[in-house]
Amino acid sequence: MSSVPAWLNSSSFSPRARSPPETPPETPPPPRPPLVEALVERADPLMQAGSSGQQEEATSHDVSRSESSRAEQLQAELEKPRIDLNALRQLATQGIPDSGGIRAVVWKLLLGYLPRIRSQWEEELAKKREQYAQFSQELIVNPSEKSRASEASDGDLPSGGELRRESVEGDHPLASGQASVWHQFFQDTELWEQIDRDVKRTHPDLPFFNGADGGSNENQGALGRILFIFAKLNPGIKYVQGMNEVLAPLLYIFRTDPDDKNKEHAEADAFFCFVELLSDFRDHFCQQLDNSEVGIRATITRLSNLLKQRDEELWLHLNVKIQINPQFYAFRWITLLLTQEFDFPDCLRLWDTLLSNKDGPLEILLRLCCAMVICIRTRLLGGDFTDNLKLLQNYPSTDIDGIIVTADRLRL
Amino acid sequence: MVLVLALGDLHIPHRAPDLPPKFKQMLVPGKIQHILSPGNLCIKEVQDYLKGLCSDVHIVKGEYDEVQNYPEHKVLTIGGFKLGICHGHQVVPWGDVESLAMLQRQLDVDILITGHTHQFKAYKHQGRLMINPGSATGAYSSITYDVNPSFVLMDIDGQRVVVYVYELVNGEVKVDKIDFRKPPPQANES
Repeated sequence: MSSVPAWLNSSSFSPRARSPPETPPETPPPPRPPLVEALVERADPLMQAGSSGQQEEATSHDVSRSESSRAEQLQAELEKPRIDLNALRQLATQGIPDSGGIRAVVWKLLLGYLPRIRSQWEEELAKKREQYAQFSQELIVNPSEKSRASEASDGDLPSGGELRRESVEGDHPLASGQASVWHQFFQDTELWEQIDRDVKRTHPDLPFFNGADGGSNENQGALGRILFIFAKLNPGIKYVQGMNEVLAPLLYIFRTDPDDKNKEHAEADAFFCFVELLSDFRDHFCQQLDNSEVGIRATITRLSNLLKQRDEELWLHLNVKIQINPQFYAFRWITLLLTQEFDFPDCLRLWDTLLSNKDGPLEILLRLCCAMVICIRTRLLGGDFTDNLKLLQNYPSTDIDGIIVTADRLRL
Repeated sequence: MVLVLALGDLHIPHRAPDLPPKFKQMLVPGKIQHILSPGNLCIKEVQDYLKGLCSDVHIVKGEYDEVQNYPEHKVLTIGGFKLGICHGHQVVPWGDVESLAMLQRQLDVDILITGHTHQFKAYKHQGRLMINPGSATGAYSSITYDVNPSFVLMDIDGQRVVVYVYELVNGEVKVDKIDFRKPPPQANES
C-alpha cells in the first residue's frame, strides 16, 4: 500500500469533503514530488483562482465575482481577430458561464467547427449550413413528395366521370429496385424507428426535450434528423444507442443561444460539432472494434491501469478483492461521455473541461472517470460488491468541481 | 404518409387458386399500414395471409365469404380522409355510379371502396372518390370472364391521396396512378 499518495486519504476525499481541511489539498506531502511539480508548474494565477481548494470554500460572492471576471476574459478572448486557442482552453477548462451564449461559441471553437480567424466565421458557417441543408435534402427522402413533385398539376378534372390514369414508369410504393426512392425509404424505416425510440427517451426530465409545447417536438425532430444523417454518412457505424445522449448537450447549448441566427441553424451546427466530437470517440461505438486496441474494452483497460497507477489500494480492493469488472460502470461513463452520471447543468460544466483539453477529450475523460472513482474511495473501500456496484452505477450527487480538481491532479 | 392497400374479390379457392405470383412478390410485410378489403376472399386462410402483410386488416362481407362475422360495411378515418368499404352486391344496378353515390352519401365518406364487378374503376363524383380495386386474382365474375388481376394501393398524406393501380396485363405488372386532393369543405355543400 506504500504507493497510495497521502493526499488521497486527506479529508477532502471523505464524504464530508467540504469541511475546512487542516491539510490543504494543494500542498501534498513530500513522498509524491511529481504532484508538487505539477502544481507548481501551473502557478498561473488564473488557474489557481478556479481550481484551488481554497476557492471552493470561498464565499459565494467571491465565486460569482470570479465567474463574471472569467466571462469578461472569455468575451475579450472571443473578440480578438485571431483566437488564441490555448488561452481559450485555459479559460474554458475552469467552466464557461451559462449566460450570453458564450458557451455555444466557445464549444464551436474548441471543437474546431469555427475557424480561429474571426473574420472567416460568417463564410464558414454559411458554407457548413448550406452543406447540411444539402445532406438533409439528399438523405431524408419522402417518396410521397417525390412522386408528387413530378406531377405538374393534380387532376383538376371536372366533377364526375372516370379519373384519368397516368402510367407510372419507374417508381411506385411496391417497387423493389435499388433505384427506387420508395425502396430506399422502406430500407431507412428501420433506422428511423431505432433512432426515434431513443430520441423520445432523451432527457425525459427536461422540458427542452420533452415538454408539452411544439418546441420540444422540434428539438426531438432535430435530434432524430442529425442522428439519421450521421448514420447514413457513416455506414460503418450507423446509429448506436447512446449517440443521442452525446448529441443532446450540443443541441441544447446551440439552440439556447441568444443569437437568433445561430439558434435557427442550431441543428446544422450541432451536426458538425457532433461529427467533430465523435471523431475522437467513434471507435467506441463500433462493435467490430470492441476487442481491438482502439475499442471500448481497451479504453476501459486504460482507465483501470490509470487507477492502478494512481491509487493502488483502491484498485486492489475493486479489482481483486471484490472483483468489480470496470466494464460494469465505466462502459457507460466513457461511451456517453459522462452525460448520464450527473445533472444536466453539471454535465455541461464537465464538458467545458472535457472539450478544452489540449490532448483531446479522451485523455481528460479517463482522468475524470478515474477521479470519480477516487472521490468516493472512502465509501468504496468500506463497501462490498453490491454496495459498490450500486454506488458506481448511480454515482452520488457530488460537487462537480471537486472531481475536476482531482482529475487535474491526476495529470503526471 | 400512410399506405393503404385495397384488394378484394379473390374468390379463393373457388375461382382462383391463389394471388398471381408477381403480386405476391410485391406484397411484403412492413410497407403497408392498413388493408381494406371489400370481401369475397373467400376462405379464412386468405384473411390470415392479409394479416401477415399488415396487422390492421378491415374486411366486409361478400356473398361468398365463408367467415360469417364480417360486417356489411365499415367506415374508418385515415389521415384527412374518411373511408368506407362495402362489397357492392347489395347496390343495384351493380357498379352504377349513381347508386354507389347514394351509398357514399349514406356512409358520408370521402373515399368509397367497393368490389363485386371485378373491374377496376375510379370515379370522382361530387368531389368524392369512388374506387373499385377489381379482382386481385383475376377471378371471373357473373358479368364477365375476361378479367385482369388488379389491386389498389393508396398513399394518403393529409388531404391528398395518390392512388396506385396495379394491374397484371399479359403477365406484366402495369402501374398507373391517380392524384386526388380532397376539396375544401365548402365545396361539398354544393
